[in-house]
Amino acid sequence: MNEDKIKASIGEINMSDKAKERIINECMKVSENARDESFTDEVLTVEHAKPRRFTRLAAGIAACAVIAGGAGTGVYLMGGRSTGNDKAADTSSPVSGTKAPDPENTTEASETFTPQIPDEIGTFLESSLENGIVQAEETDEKAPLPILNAEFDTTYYGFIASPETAVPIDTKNDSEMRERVINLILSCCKFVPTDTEVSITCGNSQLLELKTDTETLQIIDAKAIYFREDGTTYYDIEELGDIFEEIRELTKDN
Amino acid sequence: MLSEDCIHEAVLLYSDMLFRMCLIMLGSAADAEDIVQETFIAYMKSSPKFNDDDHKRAWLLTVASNKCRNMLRYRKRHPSADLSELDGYTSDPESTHTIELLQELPEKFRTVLALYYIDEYKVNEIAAMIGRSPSAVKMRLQKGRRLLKEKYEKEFGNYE
Repeated sequence: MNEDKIKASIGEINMSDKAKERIINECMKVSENARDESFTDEVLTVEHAKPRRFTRLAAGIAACAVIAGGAGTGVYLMGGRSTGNDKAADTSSPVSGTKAPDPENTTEASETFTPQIPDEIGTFLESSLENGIVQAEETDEKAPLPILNAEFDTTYYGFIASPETAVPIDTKNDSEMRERVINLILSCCKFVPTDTEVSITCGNSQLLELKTDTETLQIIDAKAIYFREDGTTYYDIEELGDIFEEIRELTKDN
Repeated sequence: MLSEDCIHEAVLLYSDMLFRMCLIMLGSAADAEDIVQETFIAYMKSSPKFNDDDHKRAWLLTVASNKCRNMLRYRKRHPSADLSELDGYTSDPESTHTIELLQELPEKFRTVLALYYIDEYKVNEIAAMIGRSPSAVKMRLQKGRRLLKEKYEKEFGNYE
Protein backbone atom coordinates (compact mmCIF):
# COMPACT_ATOMS: atom_id res chain seq x y z
CA MET A 1 0.00 0.00 0.00
CA ASN A 2 1.26 3.42 -0.88
CA GLU A 3 1.86 5.01 2.50
CA ASP A 4 2.56 8.45 1.08
CA LYS A 5 -0.92 8.47 -0.38
CA ILE A 6 -2.47 7.66 2.99
CA LYS A 7 -0.45 10.44 4.61
CA ALA A 8 -1.41 12.87 1.88
CA SER A 9 -5.07 11.94 2.13
CA ILE A 10 -5.13 12.43 5.88
CA GLY A 11 -3.08 15.61 5.59
CA GLU A 12 -5.81 17.18 3.51
CA ILE A 13 -8.18 17.18 6.46
CA ASN A 14 -8.16 20.53 8.21
CA MET A 15 -10.44 22.10 10.72
CA SER A 16 -12.37 25.10 9.48
CA ASP A 17 -11.33 28.54 10.72
CA LYS A 18 -14.85 29.05 11.97
CA ALA A 19 -14.61 25.97 14.18
CA LYS A 20 -11.23 27.09 15.51
CA GLU A 21 -12.65 30.48 16.34
CA ARG A 22 -15.58 28.85 18.11
CA ILE A 23 -13.26 26.70 20.19
CA ILE A 24 -11.18 29.69 21.20
CA ASN A 25 -14.34 31.56 22.19
CA GLU A 26 -15.60 28.60 24.24
CA CYS A 27 -12.25 28.38 26.01
CA MET A 28 -12.42 32.10 26.77
CA LYS A 29 -15.90 31.65 28.24
CA VAL A 30 -14.70 28.84 30.48
CA SER A 31 -11.76 30.94 31.52
CA GLU A 32 -13.99 33.91 32.37
CA ASN A 33 -16.39 31.73 34.32
CA ALA A 34 -13.52 30.25 36.29
CA ARG A 35 -12.25 33.73 37.06
CA ASP A 36 -15.70 34.82 38.24
CA GLU A 37 -15.99 31.77 40.47
CA SER A 38 -12.61 32.35 42.06
CA PHE A 39 -13.60 35.97 42.69
CA THR A 40 -16.80 34.83 44.41
CA ASP A 41 -14.81 32.41 46.56
CA GLU A 42 -12.55 35.21 47.74
CA VAL A 43 -15.50 37.40 48.64
CA LEU A 44 -17.10 34.58 50.63
CA THR A 45 -13.85 33.92 52.43
CA VAL A 46 -13.65 37.54 53.52
CA GLU A 47 -17.28 37.56 54.65
CA HIS A 48 -16.80 34.49 56.80
CA ALA A 49 -13.46 35.51 58.18
CA LYS A 50 -14.94 37.22 61.24
CA PRO A 51 -14.44 34.82 64.17
CA ARG A 52 -17.45 33.66 66.15
CA ARG A 53 -15.71 31.67 68.81
CA PHE A 54 -18.64 30.92 71.07
CA THR A 55 -20.87 29.69 68.24
CA ARG A 56 -18.08 27.51 66.91
CA LEU A 57 -17.29 26.09 70.33
CA ALA A 58 -20.95 25.25 70.97
CA ALA A 59 -21.29 23.68 67.54
CA GLY A 60 -18.10 21.69 68.12
CA ILE A 61 -19.29 20.35 71.48
CA ALA A 62 -22.67 19.41 70.00
CA ALA A 63 -21.01 17.59 67.11
CA CYS A 64 -18.71 15.66 69.46
CA ALA A 65 -21.67 14.69 71.62
CA VAL A 66 -23.57 13.38 68.62
CA ILE A 67 -20.58 11.39 67.37
CA ALA A 68 -19.77 9.98 70.82
CA GLY A 69 -23.42 9.09 71.43
CA GLY A 70 -23.71 7.40 68.06
CA ALA A 71 -20.52 5.42 68.55
CA GLY A 72 -21.54 4.37 72.07
CA THR A 73 -24.97 3.24 70.92
CA GLY A 74 -23.44 1.35 68.02
CA VAL A 75 -21.01 -0.54 70.25
CA TYR A 76 -23.79 -1.29 72.75
CA LEU A 77 -26.15 -2.58 70.08
CA MET A 78 -23.49 -4.68 68.36
CA GLY A 79 -22.71 -6.29 71.73
CA GLY A 80 -19.65 -8.25 70.62
CA ARG A 81 -20.94 -9.22 67.19
CA SER A 82 -18.41 -9.57 64.44
CA THR A 83 -17.21 -6.43 62.72
CA GLY A 84 -17.37 -5.55 59.06
CA ASN A 85 -13.74 -6.57 58.71
CA ASP A 86 -14.50 -10.06 59.96
CA LYS A 87 -17.29 -10.29 57.45
CA ALA A 88 -14.97 -9.13 54.70
CA ALA A 89 -12.47 -11.80 55.64
CA ASP A 90 -15.20 -14.42 55.39
CA THR A 91 -15.89 -13.52 51.79
CA SER A 92 -12.34 -13.94 50.59
CA SER A 93 -13.17 -17.40 49.27
CA PRO A 94 -16.43 -16.86 47.47
CA VAL A 95 -16.27 -20.12 45.55
CA SER A 96 -15.76 -22.45 48.45
CA GLY A 97 -18.18 -25.30 48.18
CA THR A 98 -18.96 -24.62 44.56
CA LYS A 99 -18.07 -26.73 41.58
CA ALA A 100 -14.60 -25.87 40.33
CA PRO A 101 -14.13 -24.81 36.72
CA ASP A 102 -13.62 -27.57 34.22
CA PRO A 103 -9.96 -28.65 34.13
CA GLU A 104 -10.13 -28.35 30.36
CA ASN A 105 -10.56 -24.65 30.83
CA THR A 106 -7.15 -24.28 32.41
CA THR A 107 -4.42 -23.22 30.04
CA GLU A 108 -0.70 -22.68 29.89
CA ALA A 109 -1.21 -19.33 31.56
CA SER A 110 -2.53 -20.98 34.70
CA GLU A 111 0.52 -23.21 34.93
CA THR A 112 3.04 -20.43 34.62
CA PHE A 113 1.87 -18.15 37.40
CA THR A 114 -0.30 -18.12 40.46
CA PRO A 115 -3.06 -15.58 40.18
CA GLN A 116 -3.08 -12.90 42.83
CA ILE A 117 -6.55 -11.92 43.85
CA PRO A 118 -6.47 -9.40 46.66
CA ASP A 119 -9.02 -9.92 49.42
CA GLU A 120 -10.68 -6.60 48.78
CA ILE A 121 -11.58 -7.68 45.26
CA GLY A 122 -13.26 -10.81 46.59
CA THR A 123 -15.12 -8.74 49.14
CA PHE A 124 -16.09 -6.20 46.55
CA LEU A 125 -17.35 -8.89 44.22
CA GLU A 126 -19.40 -10.48 46.96
CA SER A 127 -21.05 -7.23 47.93
CA SER A 128 -21.60 -6.24 44.32
CA LEU A 129 -23.16 -9.57 43.47
CA GLU A 130 -25.89 -8.81 45.96
CA ASN A 131 -27.13 -6.26 43.46
CA GLY A 132 -28.09 -8.78 40.81
CA ILE A 133 -27.16 -8.76 37.15
CA VAL A 134 -23.59 -9.48 36.17
CA GLN A 135 -21.95 -9.50 32.79
CA ALA A 136 -18.45 -9.77 31.42
CA GLU A 137 -16.93 -8.27 28.33
CA GLU A 138 -13.54 -7.34 27.06
CA THR A 139 -12.78 -3.64 27.02
CA ASP A 140 -9.74 -3.96 24.87
CA GLU A 141 -9.77 -7.11 22.97
CA LYS A 142 -6.21 -7.06 21.65
CA ALA A 143 -3.47 -8.94 23.42
CA PRO A 144 0.08 -9.62 22.30
CA LEU A 145 0.14 -13.01 24.00
CA PRO A 146 -1.71 -16.02 22.68
CA ILE A 147 -4.83 -16.82 24.64
CA LEU A 148 -7.26 -19.58 24.00
CA ASN A 149 -11.00 -19.74 23.77
CA ALA A 150 -11.05 -21.97 26.81
CA GLU A 151 -9.79 -19.18 29.01
CA PHE A 152 -12.98 -17.27 28.56
CA ASP A 153 -15.23 -20.10 27.53
CA THR A 154 -18.33 -18.46 28.86
CA THR A 155 -20.59 -21.19 27.54
CA TYR A 156 -19.28 -23.25 30.43
CA TYR A 157 -20.61 -20.66 32.81
CA GLY A 158 -23.95 -20.52 31.08
CA PHE A 159 -23.61 -17.12 29.46
CA ILE A 160 -24.84 -17.74 25.97
CA ALA A 161 -26.63 -14.67 24.78
CA SER A 162 -26.81 -12.15 22.03
CA PRO A 163 -28.26 -8.64 22.16
CA GLU A 164 -31.52 -10.03 20.78
CA THR A 165 -31.83 -12.93 23.21
CA ALA A 166 -30.28 -11.34 26.27
CA VAL A 167 -31.82 -12.36 29.56
CA PRO A 168 -30.90 -10.59 32.78
CA ILE A 169 -29.12 -12.92 35.17
CA ASP A 170 -30.52 -12.99 38.66
CA THR A 171 -27.53 -13.63 40.89
CA LYS A 172 -29.43 -12.69 43.99
CA ASN A 173 -32.15 -15.34 43.86
CA ASP A 174 -30.65 -17.89 41.50
CA SER A 175 -27.91 -19.60 43.52
CA GLU A 176 -26.68 -21.71 40.63
CA MET A 177 -26.26 -18.64 38.46
CA ARG A 178 -24.55 -16.91 41.31
CA GLU A 179 -21.96 -19.69 41.49
CA ARG A 180 -21.48 -19.54 37.76
CA VAL A 181 -20.91 -15.82 37.92
CA ILE A 182 -18.43 -16.10 40.73
CA ASN A 183 -16.55 -18.82 38.88
CA LEU A 184 -16.55 -16.76 35.73
CA ILE A 185 -15.21 -13.72 37.51
CA LEU A 186 -12.52 -15.65 39.29
CA SER A 187 -11.53 -17.29 36.02
CA CYS A 188 -11.28 -13.87 34.45
CA CYS A 189 -9.07 -12.80 37.34
CA LYS A 190 -6.97 -15.91 36.96
CA PHE A 191 -6.54 -15.93 33.24
CA VAL A 192 -6.46 -12.31 32.25
CA PRO A 193 -3.31 -12.21 30.12
CA THR A 194 -0.72 -9.50 30.03
CA ASP A 195 -1.69 -6.30 28.31
CA THR A 196 -5.34 -7.26 28.20
CA GLU A 197 -8.18 -5.47 29.88
CA VAL A 198 -11.29 -7.30 30.88
CA SER A 199 -14.35 -5.52 32.05
CA ILE A 200 -16.94 -7.14 34.27
CA THR A 201 -20.15 -5.32 34.98
CA CYS A 202 -22.88 -5.78 37.51
CA GLY A 203 -26.30 -4.27 37.01
CA ASN A 204 -25.88 -0.71 35.95
CA SER A 205 -22.30 -0.30 37.01
CA GLN A 206 -19.02 -1.61 35.81
CA LEU A 207 -17.90 -4.07 38.41
CA LEU A 208 -14.31 -4.62 37.56
CA GLU A 209 -11.74 -3.65 35.04
CA LEU A 210 -8.80 -5.95 35.26
CA LYS A 211 -5.34 -5.22 34.01
CA THR A 212 -2.20 -7.20 34.55
CA ASP A 213 1.30 -6.02 35.10
CA THR A 214 3.62 -7.11 32.31
CA GLU A 215 6.48 -7.76 34.71
CA THR A 216 4.86 -9.51 37.64
CA LEU A 217 1.78 -10.91 35.94
CA GLN A 218 -0.28 -9.73 38.88
CA ILE A 219 -3.55 -7.89 38.70
CA ILE A 220 -2.71 -4.26 39.15
CA ASP A 221 -6.05 -2.65 38.64
CA ALA A 222 -9.57 -3.68 39.49
CA LYS A 223 -12.19 -1.06 39.95
CA ALA A 224 -15.68 0.10 39.14
CA ILE A 225 -15.55 2.80 36.52
CA TYR A 226 -18.80 3.90 35.00
CA PHE A 227 -22.51 3.36 35.18
CA ARG A 228 -24.61 1.94 32.41
CA GLU A 229 -27.79 3.69 31.54
CA ASP A 230 -29.76 0.60 30.63
CA GLY A 231 -30.27 -2.21 33.07
CA THR A 232 -30.56 -4.88 30.40
CA THR A 233 -26.96 -5.79 29.88
CA TYR A 234 -25.81 -8.81 27.94
CA TYR A 235 -22.82 -10.88 27.18
CA ASP A 236 -22.14 -11.13 23.48
CA ILE A 237 -20.49 -14.47 22.86
CA GLU A 238 -20.30 -13.95 19.11
CA GLU A 239 -18.29 -10.79 19.49
CA LEU A 240 -15.84 -12.58 21.73
CA GLY A 241 -15.46 -15.31 19.12
CA ASP A 242 -14.37 -12.73 16.56
CA ILE A 243 -11.93 -11.25 19.00
CA PHE A 244 -10.22 -14.56 19.58
CA GLU A 245 -10.03 -15.22 15.87
CA GLU A 246 -8.30 -11.92 15.47
CA ILE A 247 -5.90 -12.48 18.32
CA ARG A 248 -4.93 -15.86 16.93
CA GLU A 249 -4.31 -14.33 13.54
CA LEU A 250 -2.18 -11.54 14.96
CA THR A 251 -0.18 -13.95 17.04
CA LYS A 252 0.45 -16.01 13.96
CA ASP A 253 1.75 -12.91 12.16
CA ASN A 254 4.15 -12.19 14.98
CA MET B 1 -5.75 28.13 34.35
CA LEU B 2 -3.89 28.91 31.14
CA SER B 3 -3.83 32.40 29.68
CA GLU B 4 -5.92 33.33 26.66
CA ASP B 5 -2.80 33.77 24.54
CA CYS B 6 -1.59 30.27 25.34
CA ILE B 7 -4.94 28.75 24.37
CA HIS B 8 -5.11 30.78 21.20
CA GLU B 9 -1.66 29.62 20.20
CA ALA B 10 -2.38 26.00 21.08
CA VAL B 11 -5.62 25.95 19.08
CA LEU B 12 -3.89 27.37 16.02
CA LEU B 13 -1.00 24.93 16.33
CA TYR B 14 -2.70 21.67 17.26
CA SER B 15 -6.37 21.83 16.29
CA ASP B 16 -5.84 20.46 12.76
CA MET B 17 -3.85 17.51 14.03
CA LEU B 18 -6.45 16.69 16.69
CA PHE B 19 -9.32 17.18 14.29
CA ARG B 20 -7.79 14.73 11.78
CA MET B 21 -7.46 12.03 14.36
CA CYS B 22 -10.93 12.62 15.82
CA LEU B 23 -12.57 12.69 12.40
CA ILE B 24 -10.93 9.42 11.45
CA MET B 25 -11.92 7.82 14.73
CA LEU B 26 -15.47 9.15 14.87
CA GLY B 27 -16.47 9.71 11.25
CA SER B 28 -18.42 12.81 12.16
CA ALA B 29 -17.08 16.33 11.74
CA ALA B 30 -19.44 17.76 14.36
CA ASP B 31 -18.43 15.17 16.95
CA ALA B 32 -14.77 15.61 16.06
CA GLU B 33 -15.05 19.37 16.61
CA ASP B 34 -16.74 18.81 19.95
CA ILE B 35 -14.00 16.48 21.09
CA VAL B 36 -11.28 18.91 19.99
CA GLN B 37 -13.04 21.63 21.93
CA GLU B 38 -13.34 19.45 25.04
CA THR B 39 -9.66 18.57 24.73
CA PHE B 40 -8.61 22.20 24.69
CA ILE B 41 -10.88 23.00 27.62
CA ALA B 42 -9.31 20.12 29.55
CA TYR B 43 -5.90 21.48 28.59
CA MET B 44 -6.83 24.93 29.79
CA LYS B 45 -8.31 23.74 33.07
CA SER B 46 -5.57 21.34 34.05
CA SER B 47 -2.68 23.52 32.76
CA PRO B 48 -0.26 20.58 32.71
CA LYS B 49 3.47 21.17 32.74
CA PHE B 50 5.22 19.81 29.66
CA ASN B 51 8.85 19.00 29.10
CA ASP B 52 8.71 20.15 25.48
CA ASP B 53 6.39 20.55 22.49
CA ASP B 54 6.42 16.84 21.70
CA HIS B 55 5.23 16.11 25.21
CA LYS B 56 2.44 18.66 24.84
CA ARG B 57 1.38 17.24 21.47
CA ALA B 58 1.35 13.69 22.83
CA TRP B 59 -0.73 14.80 25.85
CA LEU B 60 -3.32 16.49 23.64
CA LEU B 61 -3.54 13.48 21.31
CA THR B 62 -3.90 11.07 24.21
CA VAL B 63 -6.67 13.11 25.83
CA ALA B 64 -8.47 13.48 22.51
CA SER B 65 -8.21 9.78 21.66
CA ASN B 66 -9.52 8.82 25.12
CA LYS B 67 -12.47 11.15 24.65
CA CYS B 68 -13.10 9.64 21.20
CA ARG B 69 -13.11 6.16 22.73
CA ASN B 70 -15.61 7.25 25.34
CA MET B 71 -17.83 8.61 22.60
CA LEU B 72 -17.52 5.39 20.61
CA ARG B 73 -18.53 3.42 23.70
CA TYR B 74 -21.51 5.69 24.13
CA ARG B 75 -22.48 5.22 20.48
CA LYS B 76 -22.22 1.47 20.82
CA ARG B 77 -24.87 1.63 23.52
CA HIS B 78 -26.91 4.26 21.69
CA PRO B 79 -26.64 3.48 17.96
CA SER B 80 -27.65 6.27 15.60
CA ALA B 81 -27.66 6.99 11.87
CA ASP B 82 -24.73 6.79 9.45
CA LEU B 83 -22.07 9.28 10.47
CA SER B 84 -19.84 9.36 7.43
CA GLU B 85 -19.44 12.96 6.27
CA LEU B 86 -16.15 13.68 4.61
CA ASP B 87 -17.36 15.90 1.84
CA GLY B 88 -15.54 19.17 1.78
CA TYR B 89 -12.53 17.94 3.74
CA THR B 90 -10.61 16.37 0.88
CA SER B 91 -9.93 17.70 -2.59
CA ASP B 92 -9.91 14.52 -4.67
CA PRO B 93 -12.18 11.47 -4.62
CA GLU B 94 -9.29 9.07 -4.08
CA SER B 95 -8.36 10.72 -0.79
CA THR B 96 -11.98 10.63 0.27
CA HIS B 97 -12.14 6.91 -0.47
CA THR B 98 -8.93 6.24 1.43
CA ILE B 99 -10.18 8.04 4.52
CA GLU B 100 -13.59 6.44 4.29
CA LEU B 101 -11.95 3.02 4.23
CA LEU B 102 -9.75 4.01 7.14
CA GLN B 103 -12.86 4.94 9.08
CA GLU B 104 -14.36 1.55 8.39
CA LEU B 105 -11.53 -0.23 10.21
CA PRO B 106 -12.09 -1.30 13.82
CA GLU B 107 -11.32 1.41 16.37
CA LYS B 108 -8.08 -0.14 17.63
CA PHE B 109 -6.53 -0.11 14.15
CA ARG B 110 -7.90 3.33 13.34
CA THR B 111 -6.31 4.92 16.39
CA VAL B 112 -2.90 3.45 15.77
CA LEU B 113 -2.93 4.19 12.02
CA ALA B 114 -4.16 7.72 12.63
CA LEU B 115 -1.37 8.43 15.11
CA TYR B 116 1.17 6.79 12.83
CA TYR B 117 0.18 8.66 9.71
CA ILE B 118 -1.08 11.97 11.08
CA ASP B 119 1.93 12.89 13.09
CA GLU B 120 4.39 10.21 12.11
CA TYR B 121 4.77 8.94 15.63
CA LYS B 122 7.13 6.03 16.19
CA VAL B 123 5.84 2.68 17.41
CA ASN B 124 7.28 3.20 20.92
CA GLU B 125 5.70 6.63 21.20
CA ILE B 126 2.29 5.33 20.13
CA ALA B 127 2.64 2.46 22.60
CA ALA B 128 3.26 4.92 25.42
CA MET B 129 0.33 7.09 24.36
CA ILE B 130 -2.25 4.35 24.16
CA GLY B 131 -0.90 2.27 27.03
CA ARG B 132 -0.04 -0.82 25.01
CA SER B 133 3.17 -2.69 24.39
CA PRO B 134 5.25 -1.81 21.28
CA SER B 135 4.70 -5.30 19.91
CA ALA B 136 0.93 -4.85 20.21
CA VAL B 137 1.19 -1.54 18.34
CA LYS B 138 3.31 -3.13 15.63
CA MET B 139 0.76 -5.86 15.18
CA ARG B 140 -2.07 -3.38 15.00
CA LEU B 141 -0.17 -1.38 12.40
CA GLN B 142 0.54 -4.46 10.32
CA LYS B 143 -2.98 -5.75 10.51
CA GLY B 144 -4.48 -2.29 9.99
CA ARG B 145 -2.39 -1.64 6.89
CA ARG B 146 -3.24 -5.02 5.50
CA LEU B 147 -6.96 -4.57 6.12
CA LEU B 148 -6.86 -1.13 4.55
CA LYS B 149 -5.03 -2.41 1.51
CA GLU B 150 -7.42 -5.32 1.11
CA LYS B 151 -10.43 -3.05 1.39
CA TYR B 152 -9.02 -0.60 -1.14
CA GLU B 153 -8.05 -3.25 -3.65
CA LYS B 154 -11.40 -4.93 -3.30
CA GLU B 155 -13.23 -1.73 -4.11
CA PHE B 156 -10.91 0.22 -6.37
CA GLY B 157 -8.27 -2.21 -7.68
CA ASN B 158 -4.51 -1.92 -7.21
CA TYR B 159 -3.37 1.00 -5.08
CA GLU B 160 0.37 0.90 -5.84
